[in-house]
Amino acid sequence: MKDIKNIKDIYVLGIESSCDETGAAIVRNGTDVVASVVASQIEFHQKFGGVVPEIASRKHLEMLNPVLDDVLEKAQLTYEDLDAVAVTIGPGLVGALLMGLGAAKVISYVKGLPLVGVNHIEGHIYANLIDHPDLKPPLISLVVSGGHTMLVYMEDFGIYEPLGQTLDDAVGEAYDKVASFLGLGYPGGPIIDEMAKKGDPTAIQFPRAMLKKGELNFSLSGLKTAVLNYVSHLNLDAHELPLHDLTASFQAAVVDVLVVKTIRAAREKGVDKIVLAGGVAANSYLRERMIAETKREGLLLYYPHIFLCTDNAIMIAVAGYYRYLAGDRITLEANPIPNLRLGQKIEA
Amino acid sequence: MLTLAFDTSSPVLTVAIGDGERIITETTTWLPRGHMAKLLPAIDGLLKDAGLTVQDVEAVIIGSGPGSYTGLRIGMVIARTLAQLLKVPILGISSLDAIAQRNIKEGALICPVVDAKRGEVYAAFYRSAGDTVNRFTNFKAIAPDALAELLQLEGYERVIFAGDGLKLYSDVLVQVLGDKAKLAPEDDWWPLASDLINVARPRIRARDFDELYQLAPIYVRLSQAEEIWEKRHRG
Repeated sequence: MKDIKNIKDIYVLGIESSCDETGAAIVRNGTDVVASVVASQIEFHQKFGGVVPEIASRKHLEMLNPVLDDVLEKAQLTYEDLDAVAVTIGPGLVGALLMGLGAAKVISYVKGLPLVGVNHIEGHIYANLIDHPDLKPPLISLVVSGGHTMLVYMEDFGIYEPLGQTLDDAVGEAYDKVASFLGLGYPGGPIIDEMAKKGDPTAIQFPRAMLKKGELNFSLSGLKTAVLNYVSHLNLDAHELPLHDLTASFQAAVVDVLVVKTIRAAREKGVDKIVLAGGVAANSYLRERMIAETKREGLLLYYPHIFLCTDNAIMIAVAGYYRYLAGDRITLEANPIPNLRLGQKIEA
Repeated sequence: MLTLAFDTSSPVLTVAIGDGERIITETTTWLPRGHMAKLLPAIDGLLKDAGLTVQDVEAVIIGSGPGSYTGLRIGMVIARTLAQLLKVPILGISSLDAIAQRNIKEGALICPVVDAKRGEVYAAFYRSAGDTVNRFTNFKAIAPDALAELLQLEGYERVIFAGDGLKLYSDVLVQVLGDKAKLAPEDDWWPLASDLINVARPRIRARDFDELYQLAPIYVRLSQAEEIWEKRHRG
């Protein structure tokens, strides 16, 4: 790999530790993935039905150094080949963010590399640039994951206008809670998605929380309660729990709202590009419905590879590449910003 | 062997540079919640003052706790990554060992007491052994009254307590142990980087270092979520 390195190439090392995945990746020129490593902690959080922050922090500390060694080994590169280090600075769990940021600072300090702070949500959106390097704003992005649910208007690179967000549970969170209630395990997203494939999405009419007319916020707690109520009113002596229909109908209620509001946002802003981002963008039913509806509406739809949807460091390296070109830097004094908003200037 | 030592387990940010026989320079700053922002600048400043660069560092010594979980992890991730990038050995020295070292006194039992929250202190028992201290118990998280009862039962003549556990619990300790309890002044409560180097000296001479990937903070306790889970599932 080193032999063919062009001197004009820019190599960015990305580091991600905002939640429960420890990731490092090296990306060339913002588009070519040279190497990526993700150490997932799911097995350690599984029995708790969600991410435990203290356990997440402990595991990041354990995994960061091996993950860094692995990514350089896989890339057949050394730190001397890199041009910048990009790290998730927020939003996320503060104890988890501290770990990636600490490691990134040391790399920057010892190797004299520029240090770039990346917004994790921006990373999710920029994951789309791996397969679509020509993708350009203006666009509407639906960001859906275990911790985030939002519609955002991206007017230009780095310029965002939030249009709506969840008022209670994030989509991934609602999936986790419903899966846990139905005894299906954790994480709920992929489990429900798989189970729903054999069910009838119209079998049970769960409420679609559209909120006020024209509103682009989301609310998922009512739907969650409706599922709970439905199950508690079933006569389970007479019937087996109709898990396939239940999950399919729940998923349909979630996706209906996501699709309608995303298309409404595109119409309102007069843009024709829709970009899916975040872990829930891997959901097969959401993709299927989005593909069908955007086609019917004459809109262009983009979504990342499945492996780029969940948390990873490739997306941090990609977003970091653009921030690096724009001259954005953070210092060795930087602190994590757990509630960092999209578009908020990172000053550190 | 040029060693860089630091401890972030307490509200004090402390960094020292030593060369095997002596402490070359040290900085100590009262800095609750500022370790992430100030640790690397402090290391860089200290190295520069000594006319050195980070590339001159030949070993990293890190205070490994017990203490504040978040504080410990900040120091540990920075120490581990420094050792990894500089390709130098790393050594974890307990922060309680450093506190005991600072309060060394012949013939007395030395008992660091560090606030562990939830009504407990981190503690361990030490005796002086020449210039250094010798820890003869495991680290524990223990309620201060239980600790005092334990020391009373063991019949120690003189117990030196040091650590920020005294801020909350000195009354309890004195109540049980009376004038056998000697309370260190606040200046001697903290794990200082120079004491880490002093404690580490025999291990450095013996080239007895830690495995980078294996070195972890001394948490003593599980996470609260795990403790609750264990209680519920193990009866």
